[in-house]
Amino acid sequence: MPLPAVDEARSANLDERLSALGARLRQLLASRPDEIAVRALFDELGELPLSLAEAAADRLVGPAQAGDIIRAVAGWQSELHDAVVDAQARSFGRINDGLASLAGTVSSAELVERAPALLCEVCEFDRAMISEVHGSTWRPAAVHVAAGAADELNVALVAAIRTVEIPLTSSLIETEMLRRRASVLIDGTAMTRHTSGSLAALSHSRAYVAAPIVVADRVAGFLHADAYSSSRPLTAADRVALQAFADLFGLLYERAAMAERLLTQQQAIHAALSSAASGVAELGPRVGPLVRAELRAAEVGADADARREGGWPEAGMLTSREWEILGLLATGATNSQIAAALVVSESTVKSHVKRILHKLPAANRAEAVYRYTQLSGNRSRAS
Amino acid sequence: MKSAARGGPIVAVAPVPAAWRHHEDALAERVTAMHSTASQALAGERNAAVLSRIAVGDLTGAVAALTAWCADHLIAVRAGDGEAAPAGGAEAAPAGDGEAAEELRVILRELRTLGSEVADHAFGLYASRLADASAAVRRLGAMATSAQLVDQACAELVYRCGFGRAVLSRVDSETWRPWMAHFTGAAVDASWFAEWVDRPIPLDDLVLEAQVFTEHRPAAVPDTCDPRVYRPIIVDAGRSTSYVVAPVIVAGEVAGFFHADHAPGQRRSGLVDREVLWTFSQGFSLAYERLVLAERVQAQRSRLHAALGSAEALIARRAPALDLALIPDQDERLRIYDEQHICAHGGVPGGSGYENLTDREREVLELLAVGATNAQIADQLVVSESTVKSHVRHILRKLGAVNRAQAISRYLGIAPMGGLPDSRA
Repeated sequence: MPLPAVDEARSANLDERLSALGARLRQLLASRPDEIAVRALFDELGELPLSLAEAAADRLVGPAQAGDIIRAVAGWQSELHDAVVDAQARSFGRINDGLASLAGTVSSAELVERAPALLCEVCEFDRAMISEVHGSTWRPAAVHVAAGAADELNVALVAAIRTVEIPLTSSLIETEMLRRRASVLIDGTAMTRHTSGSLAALSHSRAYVAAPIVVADRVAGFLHADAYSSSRPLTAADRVALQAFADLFGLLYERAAMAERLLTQQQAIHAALSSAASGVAELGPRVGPLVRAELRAAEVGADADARREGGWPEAGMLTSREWEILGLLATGATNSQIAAALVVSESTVKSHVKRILHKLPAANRAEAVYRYTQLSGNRSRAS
Repeated sequence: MKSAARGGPIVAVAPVPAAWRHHEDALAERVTAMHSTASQALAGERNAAVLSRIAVGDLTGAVAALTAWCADHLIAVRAGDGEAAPAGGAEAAPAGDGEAAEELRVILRELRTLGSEVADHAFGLYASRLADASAAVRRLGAMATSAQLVDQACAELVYRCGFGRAVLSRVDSETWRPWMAHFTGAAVDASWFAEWVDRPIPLDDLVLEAQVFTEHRPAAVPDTCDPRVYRPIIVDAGRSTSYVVAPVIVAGEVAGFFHADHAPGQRRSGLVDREVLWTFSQGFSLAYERLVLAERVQAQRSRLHAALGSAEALIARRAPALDLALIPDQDERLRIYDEQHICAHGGVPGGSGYENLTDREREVLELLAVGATNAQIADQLVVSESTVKSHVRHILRKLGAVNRAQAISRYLGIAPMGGLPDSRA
């Protein structure tokens, strides 16, 4: 069946257009796809099937050629879609992996210190800042400049940022974040209306994203980030990425802070209990004899009193080990018993005892025991 | 309809699927409807490739394939018409090229609009799912106890992150054991899961989960035909066609897994699903560790209180009669003090040779106890030093002390008899 001749000029035109589209496609897929350009090409490709079908029916292109192109276009659209989704999943993955790499960081202070640089790295921001909320103000705690660090403005920003303290006034976007606990994308007019003047003057930011850091059900700080050097337009995806970072970071921080609190409490309990225990050990048996001892001390202790005036040793002069040995000595333990109790050699005990007698000072072990009762009285009064 | 696969506290989460999932289901319905319309225009012909793409959630591909299919038919229809009717103008649609061609043209125009909506959804899906994962992390962070966290995690994963099913397993170095689950969707049979709860599944090298375990990284299985899939639970019992898995890392070790898929549908689980799950499981791990630490802070306090309480009770029991406020004058107080003291220490002076001491010896002992040297004692008592020495010798013998310090110590009651272990013991 003879078909009417295909319009050669239109066909050549179509070939040209297709090869241009193909070139754009390959260029877009070669690097990390620019979503706006991808979407434009995707929509252009979407126009092709209907117009090609009409053109083929009108004998402007060969029907076989048109059919091939139509099917190819479908494949290209899928390729573009897959490339974008793949790139998006990878940016998502960078955030996750970045925060997973922080999971081994134990101190909350270190987390704050490391957050801005990590944020720049995983979300591709040029600058990032972490701040802390203090009562009715907020103040930057750390800033990182990933691109354009040599820029004079950024040098000044880094130098001055720690001195900034901004009151949480009602018009401020940070106040809004504190209240609504939602991330924001600020550009255009919102920049002048809701951004702190001092910060804007320092940063010269034209657009930025910010998110609250929620710790223990309270907004404890903020993350701010922008693309100052590259001037890359910030999108809702940047805002959401920052939000995801901030939310996981908040939990990381809270866990670290909780671990620190547990340790501090443990140490406090330990310190309190051992001082209570030594306090009890000093107090208990001393009570009765001290009353009686003082009755005599005035009579016999004159010599000792004279030495005392020359500098009565403070309990602190004895090391904790010496104090421990003195305590054992006061129970009447012999050197060998002390050695056994402390798992050291007898000669070590001897040299400790010698130093104790020298420090107290005491002429002999008996006097040392007496001094012990005096000293432990001093010690418990001091604490 | 929802069904929890495990007994115990069922979660009070509003059973509203994630917004993106709702929107995607609506779009899928529209693409399916377009396929039906095209199919009617083409005398009941069906396109299996389009339908299977809809099923796995590839709406972009489905629209593209449906468009290509309709365009192909339009060419064919019009080629057929071309013989009967002379070709019209190149620009305007030729009149009278048949009802079928016109229908296809309408469908293709509608597909262009639908394709654009599908692209909006597909290209923006990342941001909304990232936001969902983030919101889920916040909710995990707000859980009050680790028990609540564990109980509700799977439901959160299903409702907040748009999965169809979620399973939490516990992991030790050799096995993983399914623990909690939440399934959604109408007519889902969750009974199979009960049989798998706490059943150990070996983490041998051939299983994908072993890789998740060693690498501390999540994984996506686009197709469960993958030979690394542990088929007995995932395919044979769970009938999953595609899933994602992420590790729960507690104190640097993999302590569990989250598995999730889009059942009962055939929607494929991809890289974005993997990252959503990874965000979620990281949030879960951190929230879990934080809660355990917080519970420990509490436990430390209550143990401290208990310990102090029992110490106080102990003290109260030991010295019920000692109440200084009731004791009249100072001398009396002293006396009671001493007696109390002596009793408390098993009567040191009274019961262990003290009563055998002579008055003079007692005097010497009292001086000894305040740290006086032999010379000082001699001075005080106006005797010779050698006399003091012999007094001291007698005192030591009578008290059974090996040295002066021990004698004083026993007298002062610092140490009860035999308080320290003998060095030879």
